[in-house]
Amino acid sequence: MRRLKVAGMDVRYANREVVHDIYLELEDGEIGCLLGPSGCGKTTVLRAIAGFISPSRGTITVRGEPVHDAQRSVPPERRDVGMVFQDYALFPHLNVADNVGFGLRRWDTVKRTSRVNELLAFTGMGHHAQAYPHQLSGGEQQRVALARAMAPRPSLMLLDEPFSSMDVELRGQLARDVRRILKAEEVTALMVTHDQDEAFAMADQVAVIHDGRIQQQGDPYSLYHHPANRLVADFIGEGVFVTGRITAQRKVETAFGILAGTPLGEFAVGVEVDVLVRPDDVVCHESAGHRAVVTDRDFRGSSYLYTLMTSTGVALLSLMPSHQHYDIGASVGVQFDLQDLTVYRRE
Amino acid sequence: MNARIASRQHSLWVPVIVLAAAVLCIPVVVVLASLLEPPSENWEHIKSTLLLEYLANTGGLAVGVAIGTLVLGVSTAWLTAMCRFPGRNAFAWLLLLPLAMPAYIIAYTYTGMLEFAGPVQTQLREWTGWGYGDYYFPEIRSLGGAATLLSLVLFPYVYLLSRAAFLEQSICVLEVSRTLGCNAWSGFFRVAIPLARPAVVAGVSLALMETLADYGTVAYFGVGVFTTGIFRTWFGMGDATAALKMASLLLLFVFTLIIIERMSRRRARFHHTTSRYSQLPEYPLSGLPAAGAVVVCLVPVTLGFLLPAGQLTIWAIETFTTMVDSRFVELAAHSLLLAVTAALLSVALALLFAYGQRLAPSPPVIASLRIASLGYALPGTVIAVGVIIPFAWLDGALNTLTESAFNVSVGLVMSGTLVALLFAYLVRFLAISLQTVESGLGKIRPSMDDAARSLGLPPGQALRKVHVPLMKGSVITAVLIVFVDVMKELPATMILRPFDFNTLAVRAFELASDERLADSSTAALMIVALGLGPVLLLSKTISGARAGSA
Repeated sequence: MRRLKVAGMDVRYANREVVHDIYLELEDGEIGCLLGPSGCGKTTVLRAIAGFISPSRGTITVRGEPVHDAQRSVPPERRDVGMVFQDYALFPHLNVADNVGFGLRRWDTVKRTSRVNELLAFTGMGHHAQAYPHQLSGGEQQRVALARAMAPRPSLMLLDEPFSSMDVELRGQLARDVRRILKAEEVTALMVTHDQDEAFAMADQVAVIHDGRIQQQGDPYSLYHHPANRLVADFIGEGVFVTGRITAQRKVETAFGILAGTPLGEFAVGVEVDVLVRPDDVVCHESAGHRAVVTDRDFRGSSYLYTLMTSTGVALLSLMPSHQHYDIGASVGVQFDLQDLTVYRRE
Repeated sequence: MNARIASRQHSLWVPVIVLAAAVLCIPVVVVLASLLEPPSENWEHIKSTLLLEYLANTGGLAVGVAIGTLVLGVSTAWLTAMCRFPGRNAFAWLLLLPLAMPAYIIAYTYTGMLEFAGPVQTQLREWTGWGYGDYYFPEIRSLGGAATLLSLVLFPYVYLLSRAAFLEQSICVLEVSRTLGCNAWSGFFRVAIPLARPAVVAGVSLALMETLADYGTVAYFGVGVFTTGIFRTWFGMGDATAALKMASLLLLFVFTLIIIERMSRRRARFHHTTSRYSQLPEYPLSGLPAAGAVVVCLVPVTLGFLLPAGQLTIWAIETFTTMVDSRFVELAAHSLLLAVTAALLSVALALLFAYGQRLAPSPPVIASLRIASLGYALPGTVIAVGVIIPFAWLDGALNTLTESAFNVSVGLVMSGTLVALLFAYLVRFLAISLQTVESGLGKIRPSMDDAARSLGLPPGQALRKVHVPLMKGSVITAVLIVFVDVMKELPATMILRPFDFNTLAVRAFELASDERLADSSTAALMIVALGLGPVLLLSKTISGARAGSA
């Protein structure tokens, strides 16, 4: 069953359209993510689903119940949608247990206490039940915010940049923790982030938003390897574009020879195109035919990201294991190891 | 945030707030409008004889207080913020105590102590054997005396703001200056002072606003300045138009100060270059420098609070059995009634404004808040003059109406009752309550409202379960501060109080003016004691400001 359905949604602020024609769907228990640069409108989509702002067009349906359409707009407190805020928005006058129990005021005391304890144990905050928010670290505050939003068992959970105020080193671990907690409680969730690593670590489905429009939806693998357009290709992962020309169906002629594969989209023979080449598509070894000079390198522990310049003046990125070591200025041989071709018409 | 919902649900905020602000700025408009009126005969006379004296005295007073508060405020702020010496932590809050001492009370306390028959000169004559006329003793009842005493009670404004600025200065900036070859002293003059300058200027501007607003001190000392001039013109010459004109001139000075203060505060934000906090360097002092630091901090505390408070206490012990009678209880009851009513009204209005700004932020609402907040800079005399004229006109119109319709006269229902006085208090003190309430409300982030809603609470419940508990503290603080300020207020109360209605502050001033200094001390001491409440609150917040920076 569809847990969340957003169809044809526009949101306007002061006569300016912030998001346009949004379609989104989440299945029961699925974790979705809206990924995009800051200011792209992703938080607006989230706030519209929560009911804090009113779309100017379109419908929102939660568990089959319309919460917003042309006739009605259900207020946030009756949408059965929980939210984890970017700044956590913990109530400073309440301790951890009372924060978590805040949304359970209609429950009887025994049930409420046991639900609060269950969540605190689950999020590893049991020993902090009596602490106040200002006594907690950022990660602990976030877990309380998560537990508080989950407590009333909402039909849908929204997470607004949940890791943005964390140290970079902590984010990966926290994202995995949060995913584990959400999956264990079978929570359907929609997250917003500008960080692709977070999105890939957390989400089953990712929608890339740019300029208020959804550019592409899919699982992390397909977004990385089959970006639907240049915006997505630029935003996700690293890489360069290599110019070429279609010589036959599934064949592109480039300075590095004829590349074969399945170009996305139909191109006539002779069309000028750009081919997306990811750093892991470029292999350096001595016997390769094309020569390039190492102009820069970025040590990443288990690997090096080399920036290369070919004798014909094409810049390439290459990701190599770190024991394959070249100095800046060294001349290396390069060759492409492309599985699928991602090709765009040259503009 | 939410334009569409805001325009639907909160449409009532805008007209209500704009209307409230419009009513609150009536006194200013009335006073400023008088600039356009044709001058009266008296005005020509005042202009040719007294105006120059008023200008010179006001200017002299302002320069004196500016220098005095600057020296006392910045030196004590720097020492308590950046140096370690015995008693430093105690001085940090002791230096706020003079704020509890109204200038007119310190003025006549010192007069009592320093006059010919007072304890100081008597002691001096006993030691030296001199008689009357044998020696020179400075006259406290003079322009210089007024400037000194005002500096002694107003320097905490400069102290507070510049201390906060020193504490906010990132250690990094000071360390950079040390690595670039500045020692502690040149670092102070080349880095710390320039960085704190906007805050220092803002503090001095506040002290000068209080100076321009002062009536009690200058009246008691017989120094002719604008506030006393307004009184004299109004009650001595009976010329309302000339009094208004003088008030409008005073307002122009005040507005200049407001602009200076606002501009420096805005600059202060940019001067805060980094937000990295770490332990301040805290130059340890010992031996002579430490003793010097103690003296520098001890002198203003002693002269500005301990000494006059001690003298008041001695007088009060001598006289309170005769002074505390049923009449005194009535005075206290009047003061309490006024202060409590004004405080509650002012905070209620502040809540209306603050919530209006939060829920329906729009240019007219923000402009209304600005206008309504101007009152903190307006001298009580100016507000009183600006209140009484429209209220008297309103009473006249009302009586004409009721007489023609019902053939009865309702009397002075506005200008002759507490309504006028309470309105003046609102104009004067709304800014204080608004600032306190706004800062409290600012701590409730909008996302907390959203969180409460998404957890199933309708707006009314969210207000009760989130806002009420979180706002309680700042609302109580606001009530307390306005309460104390109303207790102390002198000139507006003197002008606007109903016939035969007296308060502690007015009575204390009247007794002192009749040279019954000792008799006035019980009332004065009560005002000072109450004034300690908000000062102690303030001291608690500044001592906590760095330890657990939330």
